[in-house]
Amino acid sequence: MSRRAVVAWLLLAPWLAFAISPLALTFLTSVKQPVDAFAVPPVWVFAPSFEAYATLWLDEGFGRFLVNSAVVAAATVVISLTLGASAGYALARYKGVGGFTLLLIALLFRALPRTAFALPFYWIAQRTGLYDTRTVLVLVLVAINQPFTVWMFRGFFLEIPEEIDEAAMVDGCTRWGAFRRVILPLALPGAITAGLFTLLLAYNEFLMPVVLTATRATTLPVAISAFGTEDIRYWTVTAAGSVSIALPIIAVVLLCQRYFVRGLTAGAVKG
Amino acid sequence: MKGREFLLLAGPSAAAMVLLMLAPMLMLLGISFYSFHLGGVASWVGLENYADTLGSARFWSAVGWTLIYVAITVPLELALGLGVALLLDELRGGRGLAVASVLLPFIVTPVVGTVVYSWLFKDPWGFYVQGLALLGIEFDYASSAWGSRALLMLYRVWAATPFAALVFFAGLQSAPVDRMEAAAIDGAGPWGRFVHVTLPHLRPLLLFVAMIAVMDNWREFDSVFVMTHGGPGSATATVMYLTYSVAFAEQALGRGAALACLTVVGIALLLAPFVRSLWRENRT
Amino acid sequence: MPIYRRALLGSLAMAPLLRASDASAQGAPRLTGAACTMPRPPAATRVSLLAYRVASLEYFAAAMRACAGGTLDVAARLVSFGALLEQSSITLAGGGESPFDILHSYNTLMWEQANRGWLRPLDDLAAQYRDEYGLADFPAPILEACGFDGMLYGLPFQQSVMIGFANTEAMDRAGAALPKTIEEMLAACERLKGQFGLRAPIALACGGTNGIATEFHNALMAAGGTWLDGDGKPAFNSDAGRAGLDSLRRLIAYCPGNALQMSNDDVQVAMQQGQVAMTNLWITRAAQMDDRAMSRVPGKVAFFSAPAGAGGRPYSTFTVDMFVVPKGAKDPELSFRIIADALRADRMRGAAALVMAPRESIAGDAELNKDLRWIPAGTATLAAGAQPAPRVPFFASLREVVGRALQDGLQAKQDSAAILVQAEENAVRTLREQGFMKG
Repeated sequence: MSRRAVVAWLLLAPWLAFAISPLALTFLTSVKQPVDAFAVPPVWVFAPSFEAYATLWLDEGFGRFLVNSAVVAAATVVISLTLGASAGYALARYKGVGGFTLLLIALLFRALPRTAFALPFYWIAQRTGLYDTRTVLVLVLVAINQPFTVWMFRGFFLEIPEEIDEAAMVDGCTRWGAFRRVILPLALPGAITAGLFTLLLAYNEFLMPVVLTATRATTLPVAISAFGTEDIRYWTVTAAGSVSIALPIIAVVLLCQRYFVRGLTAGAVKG
Repeated sequence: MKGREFLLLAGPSAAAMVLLMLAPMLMLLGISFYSFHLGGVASWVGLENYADTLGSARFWSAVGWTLIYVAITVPLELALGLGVALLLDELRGGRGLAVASVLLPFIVTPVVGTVVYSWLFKDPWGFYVQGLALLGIEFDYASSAWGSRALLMLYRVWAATPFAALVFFAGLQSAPVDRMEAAAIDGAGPWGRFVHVTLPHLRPLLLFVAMIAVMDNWREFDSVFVMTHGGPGSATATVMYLTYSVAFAEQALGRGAALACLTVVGIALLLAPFVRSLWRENRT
Repeated sequence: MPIYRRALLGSLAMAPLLRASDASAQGAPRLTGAACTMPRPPAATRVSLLAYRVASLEYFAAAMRACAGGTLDVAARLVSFGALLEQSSITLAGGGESPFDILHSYNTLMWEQANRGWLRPLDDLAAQYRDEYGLADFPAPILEACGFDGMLYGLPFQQSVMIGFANTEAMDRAGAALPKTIEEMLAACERLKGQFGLRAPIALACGGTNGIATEFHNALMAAGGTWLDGDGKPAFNSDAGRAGLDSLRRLIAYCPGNALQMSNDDVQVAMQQGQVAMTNLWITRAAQMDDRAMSRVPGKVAFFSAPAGAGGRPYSTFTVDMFVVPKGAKDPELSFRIIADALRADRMRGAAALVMAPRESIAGDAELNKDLRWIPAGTATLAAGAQPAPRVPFFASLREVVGRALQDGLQAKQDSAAILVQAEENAVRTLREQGFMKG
């Protein structure tokens, strides 16, 4: 390991401790009995119990909530990215007043409080027969996250010099071809990042699934939040829930990390 | 890019947004001119809800605290996020693990993240409280206004910095290596390269993250709701928490809607400098 | 990083094994009583319940699910308290066919819902099924709490009341006896002050607007005051109100420094960990004091009737939790029968340790209650006149605005008279706005 990398690790360590410790301690809480979890001084020696995990996954059948969450999040990501990437690209390259206006409208929508959508969306979902389906969650999540996705993609596409588009079009690409074959691959780390955050926002969304689902399309955050309240009997289950809900995402992040590779643009600009 | 290409590329996304969000937005605006309670009859009151809100000390004290909250947390998120991103960029081995660890706080859904974070600071059994006690520091956030405020800001920085860090880190991956090399040949040191090459390169992303952070922190609600309930007293009631109290706990939906609209106006004012620079950028 | 990925997959694969290693997992609640024999609806029907998640509701949800079979499907959604309020008000306000056929509600919330015409009155069904489900067994005052404007809207599954809890070890060490009045409680606190190992003599759940308003309700009632006068106008800004608030402040002075932010949970943990010696808390939390998985003080907590105030009534609140049927329920009769079946006497016996049962046959069963040490304290507090919230549809918002004045005023250390003037001003304004007070 180079000296620079060692120094970087050392500097990063305090931040990593700050970032990870709450979850690490939550994990400890999840395998303790409540009597030990809230003791002063803390109890370090204890027989770990995975009872809380068993309650969640076996008794409460969290598998089906995970399936709902996974399906909703995946569909939201695919549709959001398809719509958002092309719009973000258009906004990064188009200089007309229309582009500025659309960015402002997106900003305005993003600024609206979530609770303002609750009653209208419930009303629409109930009257269209889409209430308590994954479809309605996907539609709503795509729409409310679109401003975020579009703005983020715009940021990543702005980083890529416009000369590259022009070079590609001189070589015979159409605008769409230049975007799809040249620009999008160059912005891959950005696209992956945008996808990851869209995934996280969809996966972690709480209010919309509370309002728009009853018993069929319930997602993980709603199911887990039920344990977080008013009864400390459930606190270890809440802790197990926050660990459980993070694991699939950690897997996704580890799978994605290979796309964070530097220097893809370097050769392209020169060429 | 031509206007027709723009319409084709951006049209579907614009349609998706407008179709689903215009109606709720107009409805919110409409309700703000009425005195309205669920199950009751709405009566037109014109601008009374707005006048009333703007004339209340409670509103201005929430605005004041929320401004402080934004002014402290946003720069911290940006600076720490940038620092972490630059460090991540230096790593070769173990990058994936480091990225995953950095992202961890953002991964936990806020409904449970706020709950478990507050446990760390529960006096006397919270892990952090006990750790601080070992160092001889007594910290009972809940017994003072500034203690509670500090906890909320700490939570925000913990929860939101990963977003800034990862966006910047991804942005660094497309950093112009050739320009870096050119600057190095011109004799620029690491600091010079950072200021003259890296920062300008990251500018659109810095702008984006800053905007999102201002917007989200100005509207912070979850952590207040879970950790402090706006207390002690009303010391930690942010504008969004106030909106919730008025609209749902007190059930004055009309005044709540007016508050929500004022929150959006607040965002517009806070983002005005960003919008201006966006306009200029767009013109060039 | 293939290594990380493999380790991760490996740990996921282990998950199914975890159950085998642990034989004491909680599992579904065990129901008592005869099986549910419900006539099946002609076409496939799904009945959905929305309720708050606590142990007692897990039990009754399981009891309702036990009715499923054939064409009848019963599904339950158990959520956090905030989500219950949010979703029940949105689905009720949205109108049309309700996605939920049975809702969990409680006295103050139900009055609000009934006043808005959101609920299906149950008088006809209660009369029709009175004998089949033994509804005469529910005492009149409890059924009264399930009614509004002369109509019945809910069937009760639990009553709750706030009672005194005391750590006998700490009390003995300090030479303090179980208090009968607030003054005696304050004297005991004085003796307990500074006891080794105690964080504070007493803890009260004053957190949030809701918590402090509940404590104020207790103090106001104990001092002989009233929330509203005969015309429904705020009347708590009175001599009794000020005396009550003063006694509450004297109690808070013996609480931990973060009293104004302590929730019921925080108080329960403090009691279970032996950090405080006394509290006045909901009876539904009593059983957990003896639960070794949660408590350091099993068997050491004594329960006593909530202490009496100067006005003679106890420092306490009385509530009734119930199931209600939304106006837009698909088949109200089916909803009603599923509720009534889950609340049959033989079923409710299985939940006796989790709730203060609202049926006379269970409350009066000495054999069943002999291990439930807290029941006598609850019964005594009720007999001494523990008061419910006033039966008005606006109590939730009244409690919110009064609670806010109390939180702000206590934090700013204003005097009691000034706090109550502000609280009254808030209350009058809210009542006028909502059209409950003219002029």
